Parts: sequence; C-alpha cells; structure tokens
Amino acid sequence: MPRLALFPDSEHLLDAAARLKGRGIEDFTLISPIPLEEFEDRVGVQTSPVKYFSFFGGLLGALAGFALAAGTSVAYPIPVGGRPIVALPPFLLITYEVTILIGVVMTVIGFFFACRFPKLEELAYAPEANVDQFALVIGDDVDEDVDQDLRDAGASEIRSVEDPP
Amino acid sequence: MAEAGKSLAYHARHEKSWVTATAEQDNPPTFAEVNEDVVRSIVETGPGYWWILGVTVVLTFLCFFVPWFYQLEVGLQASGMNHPVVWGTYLANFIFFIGLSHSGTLLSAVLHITNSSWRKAIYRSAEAMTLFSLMTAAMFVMVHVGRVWFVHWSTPYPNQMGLWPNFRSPLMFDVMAITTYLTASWVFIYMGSIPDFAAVRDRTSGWRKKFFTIWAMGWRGTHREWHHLSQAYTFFAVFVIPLAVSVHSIVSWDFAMSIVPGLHQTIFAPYFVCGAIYSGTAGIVTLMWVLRRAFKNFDRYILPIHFDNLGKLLLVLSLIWTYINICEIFTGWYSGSSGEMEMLKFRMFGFYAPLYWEMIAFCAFLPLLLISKKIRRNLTAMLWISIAINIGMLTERFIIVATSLPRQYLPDAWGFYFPSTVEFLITFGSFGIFLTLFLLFVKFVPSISIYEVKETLPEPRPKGEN
Repeated sequence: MPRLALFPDSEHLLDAAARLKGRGIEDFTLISPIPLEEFEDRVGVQTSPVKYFSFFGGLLGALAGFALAAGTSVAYPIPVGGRPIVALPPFLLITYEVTILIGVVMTVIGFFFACRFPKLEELAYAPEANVDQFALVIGDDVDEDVDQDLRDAGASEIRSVEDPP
Repeated sequence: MAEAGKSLAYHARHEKSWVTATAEQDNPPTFAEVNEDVVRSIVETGPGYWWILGVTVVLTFLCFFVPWFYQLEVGLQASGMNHPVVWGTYLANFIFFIGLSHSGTLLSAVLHITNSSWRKAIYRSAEAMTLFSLMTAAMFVMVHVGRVWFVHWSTPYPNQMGLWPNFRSPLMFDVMAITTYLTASWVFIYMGSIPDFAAVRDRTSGWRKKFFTIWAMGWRGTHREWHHLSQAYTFFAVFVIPLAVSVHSIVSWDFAMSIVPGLHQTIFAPYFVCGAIYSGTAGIVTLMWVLRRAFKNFDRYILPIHFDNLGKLLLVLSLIWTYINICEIFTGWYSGSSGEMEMLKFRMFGFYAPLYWEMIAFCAFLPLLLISKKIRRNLTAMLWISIAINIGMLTERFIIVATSLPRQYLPDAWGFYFPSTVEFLITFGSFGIFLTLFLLFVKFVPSISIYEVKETLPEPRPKGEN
C-alpha cells in the first residue's frame, strides 16, 4: 500500500527526501503548504516544460500578430497620402501585444499540462499538508524498511493511504 | 552549506530579517491561523456586507445602467460632448480606471521580480483591483462609442462586409492592448490563487466546497506543482511588466497622436505611465485601509510597514509626476506657438482653473507630507492622502480632455465642454461597478495570499523544540 509520512517542518521533510534519494528511490511526492525553496539544494534539480511553452507561445504570437496586421492591410489596403501600406512602427506595436497575449495563454496551458491539471483521479493527499504539516508519499513498490528511514528523518506519523502518490 | 547560496526568501522565513514584516510582530500568526483568518473572511458574512453590497448594486443600476440606457435611447446628445469637444468625461474616466489598474501589476510583477517580500500580504487585492478597474474601463469604451452594438467592428474577425480594422490607428493599438491586458490580468490572478483555492477547498463544505474544488483543479501542493507554478509565475511577471507599460503608453497615444495643442506631446507616454502607477498605488493604500478594517485579524497581515513602503513609493511618484508636469508646461511655453499659449492660458486661468490648481495641490504638494515617517505610519492620514491623490488624478484626466480640445488652432472653431447630468451619473455609477465586483471578489477568492504570507512566517517547530 502507498504510505504517507507527515513531518512537522520542511527541514525534516527535505532530510527524508534526501535519504530516499540516497537509497536510489526517486518516485516520491512531497506535499507542502509553501514552496520548498531548498528542494534543489537538498534533493535534486527539477525541470519544468513551462519555459518552452512560454517561449514558443511568444514566438507564435509575434508571427501571428505581424501576419494579422500586415496581412489584413495588404488584403484591404487603405491608401492614405502615399504612406506605406505595411507600416512597421504601428505594426510592431500590434505584434508586441499579440506576442504577450499568446505568450501568456501558452504559459497557462504549459502550466496546466506540466501539472496534468485538471486532476480528475483521486491521489494521495492529507489536508493538513496544506495547512502546517509537510507530507511525503511513496508508492507500494517501496520496501517497508524505508519507513524506518522516514522515522529517523523525523516523521511524526506514517499512515497507509489507498490512493496512488 | 554556504549561507550565500540560500535565497532571500529562505532568510526571510528563517531569520526574521527586514523583509519579513508579518513575522516581525510580537506574536506573528501561525500557519494554521493564516488559513483560519483568510477562510473566515470568505465564509463569515455579516449584515454589514450585505448592506454595502446592496447599496453598490443599487448605485450601479440607478447611476450607471439607467442613464446609459437613456443615452442609448436618445443618442450621444445626452452627453455634453459636441463639436469640437467630442471626447469628454467618459474618456477621462476610461484613462483613470486604466491607470488604477497599474497598481496590481506593480505589486505582483515588479515586486515579485525584485523579491520584495512585503508585497505578499497585499498583492492579491491589488491584482483584483487591476482586473476590476480594467473591466470598468472597458465599460466606458462601450458607453463612449454611442452605438455599442457595433463595437465588435473594432475587432479583426472575418466578415462579408469587406471590413477590416485599420491597424495604423492608435485606437486599434488600444483594442489589442486592453484585450491582452484583461486576459493577462485574469490569468495572473487565477494562477496565483490556485494553491489558495485548494486551501479553502479543504476547509469549507456545501456549494463552496464544490466551487473551490473546481477552481483548485486538483492542486495538492506537490514539489512538482510548486516548481511549475513558480516557473510559470515568473514568466507571467516578465510578460506583464512591459505589457502594463505599453498599455498606458498606447492609451496616451490615443491623445498624443492627434494634432491638438495640449495633447500632441512626446512626453505623454511616460506621463501617463507614471500617473497610472501613481494613482494605482494610492488606490491600493485606500483599499488596504478598508480591508484592514473590514475583516477580523487582517490587521495582523496588513501592517503599518505596508503603508510606510507604499507611502515612500507615492512620494517618489509624486515627484516624478510633478517634474513631468513642469516639463509639459515649459515645452508648451518655450515653443511660443500661439496655439499652445492659448491652451495653457485656458487650462491654468480659464474656466477650469480651480480644477487645475486643485490637481496641483492634491497631486504635487499634498504628497510631500509623506516625507515624514510619522505620517506614512499614520493610517488615517494615509487614507486621506491616498483619496486626495486619486481625486487629483481623476481631475487630471478630465483636464487633459476638457481643456485641450476646446482650444485648437482656429479661434473661430473654439468651443466649451461641460459634462451633462448623464455623464455625472455614469461617472458616479462606475464606482458602483468597481465596488460591486470587488465585494463579490472578497467572497469568492482569498483576498490575502495564504501561501505567500506563510512563506514570510517562521515555520512551525516540531513539538519539544521550541
């Protein structure tokens, strides 16, 4: 059965995570009420795909914005005193706004994709880990003797949970 | 591990340094108390709340929608706008509300990037102010255009009329900028609130539980989710800061690109951006004061230091604003152009001179009081100064519109503008819209960021280690 260990603060939680990592177990989930500032220092580097979404969203927006302004001007030209139909200074403003628009929208999509939101299945959770406790969840493929490690690291309670981590 | 390797936020949490205003109190709130206090602000609703909400809804209906429908019925003659002053109070209010919206961006994005922890207790409400003032501003566009049922013609959509917007027009820049800003503000406030929706979800029942479960999207607070959120949030901040600057620059170009003395000025973009942040920051001060009074225990999160810091910001902004005003007058005068001179004469000594000097008094001189720490820490004084600044800024926008257009180059085309009753009512009613939206917000979204306030507090200690 998957197990959920509760810790009183982030120091002990990260200590436990580092111990599991030392044993070669990587498939754990930490649940905390605040972002864990020191996760990268203590446990390991995290990567996130969000940046690619932001970057390519911005790029796509820039192309789309310029295509919108220039394309429609060429398709429906309004000649004003011989001024250029495709006028760069104003069209760059449109390009700029659409870059940000699509960049922002793609960043949200990227965030939802990275977190697999909306989550429809039940996953292991302890409501107190959203208030003032810190939790670590491991799956059922992990040996029972790991529990001793968790206790050594300062777990105040280890409970079995039905849902996967 | 080397101390230097730890982030500022780490120090903030563990060492009660200067950034941790909330933790510096004698008896800082615990993690659990933060949840309790914020959830209470959502679920416990007294009769006072319903009374105020009722008043604002009635105000919105009677002072905004009824006059507006009357104006739709009889046309724009219901307003005081006529040739040559075809832009009036509606656009002044539009600029004012767009300006008010710049506060949220400043607090949530600029101060996020610069790692200023003191923003954490107050930025959520500032963001809400951004969103709602933008929505109110968008309403003024609808009111101003007259035939609102054609407003979709200003958006680029395929149609069989052969009709495409002219993207060389500053009004089109405006449509794009405001659409983007509205979208980005929605997204910004929602993304930052997801962990808090989850926190409220865990502590409520009934329809609220369902509501917050949907909005929380299944957030658990795993280390991966936090990491993705912090990445996404930083990118947002980076996107939104230049956006906010561009939005108010573009609003200023609506005016500055016309060849009208008093509007046709290079300095208009920075002038508008500075004015926007100025009035927005004053707006936050007013809002903080109200929130602090309205909700139990919020005085443990919104502290005198927040007013102090915002006061310093206001002082700096007022000096920049004054400087730009002097530049504006000086360049007009130095040009020697008779058109500019007539406009300046009308603005400073004409019919609207009392409003002009009121603006100078409220926005240039009164904020100089903020140089004293005693005044910055005196919440009542801060409240009145912030309200005065916003009255001054609303006047400023009115003066820009109402004293430039009547004095253009040809004296026989001069005119005069005075707002009609409908315009006065709609201006008054727009505050009803803003307040109604904000009152609904405090019951549906945690108005103080739970997780970010916790970040500034000392962590709970294990039993026996106190």
